[in-house]
Amino acid sequence: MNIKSLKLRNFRNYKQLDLEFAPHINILVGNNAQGKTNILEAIYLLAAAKSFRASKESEMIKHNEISSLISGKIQRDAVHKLEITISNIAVKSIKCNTKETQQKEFVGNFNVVLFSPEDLSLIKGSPGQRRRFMDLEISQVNAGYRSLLADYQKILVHRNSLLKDIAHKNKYEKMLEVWDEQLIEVGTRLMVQRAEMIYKLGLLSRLIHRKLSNNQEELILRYSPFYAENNEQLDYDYQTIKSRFSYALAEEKPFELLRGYSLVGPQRDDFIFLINQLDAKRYASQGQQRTAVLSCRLAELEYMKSETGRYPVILLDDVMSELDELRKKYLLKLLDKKVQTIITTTDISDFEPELLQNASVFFVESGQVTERR
Amino acid sequence: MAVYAKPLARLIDELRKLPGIGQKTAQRLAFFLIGESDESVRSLASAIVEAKDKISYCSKCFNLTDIDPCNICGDSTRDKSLICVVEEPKDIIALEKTRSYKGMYHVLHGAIAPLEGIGPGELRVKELITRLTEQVQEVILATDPNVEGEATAMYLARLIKPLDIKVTRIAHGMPVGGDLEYVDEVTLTKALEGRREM
Repeated sequence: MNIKSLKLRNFRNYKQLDLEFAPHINILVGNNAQGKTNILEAIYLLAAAKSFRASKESEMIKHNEISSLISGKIQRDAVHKLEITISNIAVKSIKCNTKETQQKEFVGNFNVVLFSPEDLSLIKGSPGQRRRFMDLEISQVNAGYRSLLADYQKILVHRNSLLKDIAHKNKYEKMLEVWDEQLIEVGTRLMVQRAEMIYKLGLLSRLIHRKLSNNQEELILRYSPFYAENNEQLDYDYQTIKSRFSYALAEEKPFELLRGYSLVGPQRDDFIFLINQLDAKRYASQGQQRTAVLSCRLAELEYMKSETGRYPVILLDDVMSELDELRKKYLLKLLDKKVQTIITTTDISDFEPELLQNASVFFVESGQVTERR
Repeated sequence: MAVYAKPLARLIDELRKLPGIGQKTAQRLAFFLIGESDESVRSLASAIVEAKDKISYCSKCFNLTDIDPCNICGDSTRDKSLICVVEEPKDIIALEKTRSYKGMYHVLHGAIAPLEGIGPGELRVKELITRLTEQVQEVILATDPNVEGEATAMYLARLIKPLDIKVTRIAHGMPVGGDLEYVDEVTLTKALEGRREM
């Protein structure tokens, strides 16, 4: 899968931009704050229908403009046209091949993997960030997961509101049982999928990390459901999860009734990175963490390939400067052949001349992009 | 900003309260009504008032009716041993159109939704239980296949089963006459789970 062209109108610092990408390596060169990452953000937006950094969508509209258009032609088996309009005065419009589309049907048409310096938060950040990672990952390859997740969230708010009611009136309601049953059923199905994804991604990450670390490090990704203690390795078949879930719910029930909200369930899940058996969040150096995340991102490529049959497009935001020579080399070797890559850099000398020969190079300067001829 | 004459503004405002009607549609309807003959406008107004006056809930099944018991409850040819439980009166219309169901109905007028403060007490649940005399052999739960409908069905099943009455849930699955490839993943998963032996 690759992106053939991108059209931006009034997006961030771009008044008007039309780009054609090469099927393999594309390099965006420019100083800081010229608009390199904005291009990656736009491409990411076409895949996920939301930004990886804007907290409000209106942030993405060019200053003093009313609306912003992001449009791209995606080559899958055929060419598809994806289009998003963000406006200050109207709701966001999402179109696939000029037809208005719902967000949940839009996502999954085009897959990307993004690696950026902020990615370290995948290890360092809160469990919530890792849950979002798991959810996004699975959603991209399995549309059923998204509606399962939406159902789960609905069940959770209903159940919480019932618990609050019970805590308030100080009387137990039999009604709670039907919500318990659904919480366990839908929650278990979510967890089975999360466990499976982390398992597959873990196998791939481990192989890649061995190469990236020159066989020095063993990387393990381990799913850590809400009931896990001490990073133990557990079985994750449907029946096991369901019975552990039911058991945990029964245990915590008195406290839930007291506090008036749900205390157990996949809304408290996490997963961990272990490097040579040690928790990377606590014991790994910055450089080790960075490499572990990179391994995980590269594993994502292979994971998506195995689940969807196609490689996603990889977006690398300013990563070359962060890596040592060995890792840089390995990364470029890996990218050279099979995956469309769009990479930003401040320094073009990060790349070998022969790689540059086969790449499209774009110079980005204050909202203007010129292609090297 | 007094763009509309006052009575017109009031009409548009009233129309806007209707489901599915926004400002534009309300304005269009209002202009249309003003342009109609006196006679047809009065006929519409009286139809609204008459329907409101004469339609009430059936004392047995809580469907909308102008006679009590309603046409369905009063029909001696229908099977009194079967009760199909639905969320809304419009669900009965849908089921009746199938012409394949000959039992009775019971309308709950909603589904259990704690977030909106709707529990069994806000629904016609008590009335359903009092209908479950020895004559009734099966209760079919036909609430919507979403989180709230599922919770309602589960709740009713727990309530009714101890009374030694068969409780069934309508199947989720494939639309008839469609292509397998066009069915969404969730429906297809449910359909697979609910498969039956042939």
